[in-house]
Amino acid sequence: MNKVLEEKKTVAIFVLPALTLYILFVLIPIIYSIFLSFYQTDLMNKQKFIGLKNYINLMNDKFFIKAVKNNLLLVVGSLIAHLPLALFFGNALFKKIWGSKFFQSVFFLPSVICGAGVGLLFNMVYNSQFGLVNSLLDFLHLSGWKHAWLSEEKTVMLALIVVVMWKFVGYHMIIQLAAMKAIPQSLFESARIDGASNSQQFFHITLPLIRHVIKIDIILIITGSLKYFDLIWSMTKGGPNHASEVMATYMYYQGFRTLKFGYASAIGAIMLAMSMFIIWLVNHIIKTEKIEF
Amino acid sequence: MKKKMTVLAATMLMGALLAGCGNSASGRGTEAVGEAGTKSEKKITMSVACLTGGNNEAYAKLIETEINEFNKTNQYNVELVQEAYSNEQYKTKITTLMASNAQPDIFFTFEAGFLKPFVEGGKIYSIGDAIGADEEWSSRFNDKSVFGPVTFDGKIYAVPNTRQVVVVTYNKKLFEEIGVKAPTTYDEFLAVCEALKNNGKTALIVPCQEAWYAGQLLQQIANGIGGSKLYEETRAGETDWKDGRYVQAGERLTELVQKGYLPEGFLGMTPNEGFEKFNNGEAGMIMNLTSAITMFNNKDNPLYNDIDFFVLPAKEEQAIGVNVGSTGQMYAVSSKAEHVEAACAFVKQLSEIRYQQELVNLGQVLVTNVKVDRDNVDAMALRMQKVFPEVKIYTPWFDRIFATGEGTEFNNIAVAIMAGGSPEEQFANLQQFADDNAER
Repeated sequence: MNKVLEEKKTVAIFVLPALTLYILFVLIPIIYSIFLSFYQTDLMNKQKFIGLKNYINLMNDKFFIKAVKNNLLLVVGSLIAHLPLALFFGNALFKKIWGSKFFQSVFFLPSVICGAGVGLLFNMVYNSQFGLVNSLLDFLHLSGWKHAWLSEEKTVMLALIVVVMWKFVGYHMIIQLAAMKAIPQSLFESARIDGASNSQQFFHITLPLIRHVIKIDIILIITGSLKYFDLIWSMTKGGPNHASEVMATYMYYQGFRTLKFGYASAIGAIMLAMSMFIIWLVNHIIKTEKIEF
Repeated sequence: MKKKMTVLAATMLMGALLAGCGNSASGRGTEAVGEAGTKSEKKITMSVACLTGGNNEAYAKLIETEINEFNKTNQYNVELVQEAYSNEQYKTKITTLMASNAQPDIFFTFEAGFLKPFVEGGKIYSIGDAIGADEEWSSRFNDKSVFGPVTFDGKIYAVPNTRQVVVVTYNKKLFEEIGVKAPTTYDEFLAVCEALKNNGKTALIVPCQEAWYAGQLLQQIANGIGGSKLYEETRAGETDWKDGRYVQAGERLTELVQKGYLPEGFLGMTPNEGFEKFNNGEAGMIMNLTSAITMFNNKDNPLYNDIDFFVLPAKEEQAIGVNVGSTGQMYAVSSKAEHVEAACAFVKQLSEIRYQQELVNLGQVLVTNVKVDRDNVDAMALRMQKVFPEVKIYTPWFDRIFATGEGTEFNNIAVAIMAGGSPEEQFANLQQFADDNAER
């Protein structure tokens, strides 16, 4: 097998189909999108080269700035919510508590439901007339706290962050749980013999040994938070009055609702640049070494 | 050499892709009828895109019937297939398809600013040529002004079938119980709202989850303050959104909310929830489009005999008779339609007796002069049609006139004002958006 792979031509034949698809459906659209971002165009009639004007306009576009802020809020919210919660649940299941397999499936289930489906589900949960949340508040005699959760500018982002947490915490938990399971049990047995408590085992064995996975998880959380679309589009479409706008929904709005495809492409290019910068930053800040057990 | 070949191949591939993505808008234009001939040798399948969901479901069913008839009887060897989408989904779908040059062959459309970029992009067949060449078809439209909002550079690009206005639908029985009548002035309207509220009823339902419901209320209040002059000045760019008359309209809108005339949770209320609440007798009034009569005129509706209609009274006397409304049930043909002649024949079929009769049965006011049987027309529809003579000037929705962004933002700021935003600030924001949007 190794001999076969040593021949560059053979490797190229195996790689070529995937590479061709990648070039056609990923690289070229990205390049074309960056190319469009220097134009004012509706992709039909109008096409005018305007240099960096789309980027300059974006810096003064308060809806775009709002969208970036919302994305950053989602990044922070997701980091705070996902990492500790996923670690907590992951560690609890790792300790093989009663019913851990069942809970593993329960926590993971929301992440396999498509974003639009989750969006529709939570539209019902948050419905101002008959939704679960307002009904629960009525039941608890807290009617004064009732809101049109997804239709009020003050509550919409909070409502969305809760859904994001619900949907993704299981996904990150599974990633971290898999890393925990790769740690040799002998390390924990030795620690137990030496009298280490559960929390000492977690902070001094588990956490350092899954650091490399946590780093990947942080990258996934941040880049995922920067490109949320389906969930938010199906729940609020970025509304009310752009209060829950994120970069991806604003890009979609500018492209497909206002026919400003050049402007939308500039938003896409900025999203790409931000994601790449953050990956570089996380790699730069969190240094990890390959661990072999 | 190898490197050169690779670069050349990559350039060709890139060029081919960019050409595919780029502007191929010229289409077949008006010459297409001649090219298409009459009967196709092989079976051609063409798509008909329309609205569905909510009150549009009834209209989608009518189109389905017309498609079935066309498929049975047409001489072109053409089969039509229906594609139906909900209102919001449709606007995005059509735009996406237009931009990728894959528009449906025949499609429902809105007028003015919605249609304009597609016309300018060469995506729409100039159907006026076909109407002009067909005396029978042309003679069905006595009033050619109905084509005004779909005419660009003197060419007609879509065919309307109905007129629509925004009305206030009210529960007449409830009004009688609390001793009020349909208002004729804006102050009377406020008095009716107050009376309903004092009797423990929701005065007015505006289901704001779809922002255009809020937008049309704000636009109608602005009509009642500034009249057609304000509308025309706005269209012509002679005034801007910071105009004091718009701010005043925003303040009137705020007043309706602050006085508690709207139901709890109206910001998140869907249109279907709103119609249900009204039909359950929980509210005195709901503001809607005349085409939404299908949400009320079910014979099983306990309020069937108690529902009546009025147009929102103007605040200023000179603005009486200026109402948000336009033509509706409009269809256009793609310049890329595989068989333009057949597509035009289908649109023509829609102006024939069967479809027109069904529209009337659904309570619609026709723009054609087709003689329909009015003896069996729904009683509620007849009551609704009485509001039409009161409308002297139709002002189409801003989200159709300024379709590419500005109109949508008008609806958004209407919701923001209803959610407690300052009208002055919100209209300033809208003007800022309009200024910035022109540069994008």
